[in-house]
Amino acid sequence: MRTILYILFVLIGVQSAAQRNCNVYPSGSKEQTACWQYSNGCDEPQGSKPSQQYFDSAISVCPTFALAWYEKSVPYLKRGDFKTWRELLDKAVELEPKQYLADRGWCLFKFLKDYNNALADLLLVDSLRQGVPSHTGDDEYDLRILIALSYRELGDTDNALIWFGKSISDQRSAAKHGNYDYLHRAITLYRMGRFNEAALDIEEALKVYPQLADAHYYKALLLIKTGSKELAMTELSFAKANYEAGFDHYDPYTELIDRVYLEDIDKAISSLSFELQKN
Amino acid sequence: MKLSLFIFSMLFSGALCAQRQVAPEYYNGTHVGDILPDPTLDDSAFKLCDENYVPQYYMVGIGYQGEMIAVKRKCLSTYKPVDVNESGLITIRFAMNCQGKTGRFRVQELNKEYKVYKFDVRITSQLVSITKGLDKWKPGSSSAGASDSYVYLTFKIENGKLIDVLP
Repeated sequence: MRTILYILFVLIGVQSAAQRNCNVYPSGSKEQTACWQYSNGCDEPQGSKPSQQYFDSAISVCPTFALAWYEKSVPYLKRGDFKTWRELLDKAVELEPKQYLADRGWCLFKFLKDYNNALADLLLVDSLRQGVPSHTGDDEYDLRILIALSYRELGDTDNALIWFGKSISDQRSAAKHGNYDYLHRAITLYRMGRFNEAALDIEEALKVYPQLADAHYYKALLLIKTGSKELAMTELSFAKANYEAGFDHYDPYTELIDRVYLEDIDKAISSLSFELQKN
Repeated sequence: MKLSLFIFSMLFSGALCAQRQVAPEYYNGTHVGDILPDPTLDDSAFKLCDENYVPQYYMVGIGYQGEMIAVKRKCLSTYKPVDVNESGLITIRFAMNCQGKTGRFRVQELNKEYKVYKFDVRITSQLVSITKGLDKWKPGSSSAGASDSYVYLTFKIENGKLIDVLP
């Protein structure tokens, strides 16, 4: 599973944006020229000097070509130069807020865990798009899930649950779910002590992604709460085996929110083994 | 063909793109984020295995003994709060060679608005020391085997306290 992710992320790095049809611009226009320069930049390895210089050329020809500002910013984000990233991406946001506020909000959430600013951006996007759902650039999350998680991390669990609800019920009617949406809500409910509701969400999470180690781990914790210790140990065994097989919520760029680590699973196994031996 | 079209468009294109000054940029190496050796800053004993190919950490899958949570825990437990009203991000980029050794540490300090900011040296010097002291890295790998890579850690500071370690 992790090998597949690495390959995908390298490919995404080589051509980081969808190919653009430059013929949508008037023939011979600065925008069309900028578009060709931008496309050339995408054909080069992400973050390489030639790639960045093509984006520079696009911007030089047409300084309001937002896509070039955005694309130029991406390697700075991924490599930890957040000053330059913000300078470049903020220009794209200024030019096309409806498009690039979503990206900025997502990246603030994912890379910087800057929940205050992420929430501000994502709520504004939701307002600008008049509630029409949209997703993160990697299509992993409905932005409303990020809004929910941002509220949660800022201590507002009431609003977190409202936004989880909006997204999950929409996705249920569309028969489409993000791999981790139910898991995040389950963890939220678990932390609030609402174990029955959390258990229901964990079951849904496992329907969407049956091997997910993180979900098996939380299922185990919930079983412990209800006194089903032997079943909990079975779930922890699944969690460990699946984690070691690569079915964890892993990301090559960052340590993701709510991530379960092998040491969490091992500690739970150790603690539960001790409990079972006492009995 | 593309060049002549480019010249033609430069001469005859309409004013569809608003004019704006664009500052020139200069790239030190061949990629964004390349850290060229600096004998005034760097330990001369540190060497990359292949100076011609240094990918980013996310391209080769680096690790740390105990996973990245162990890095975070070590940093949080080692850092001693400094009693100053300073908050923001301190990012330390560095190179890791194919043996998991690290060097070429470079620091970027930002306030909470992502603007350049100078922190109290008691904060930055601690974080540089902590980063240099992390010694259980697992190098990434490419098709050629164990690989060099560029890595970064970002330390979130709130009123002189270390509150989180990214990525």
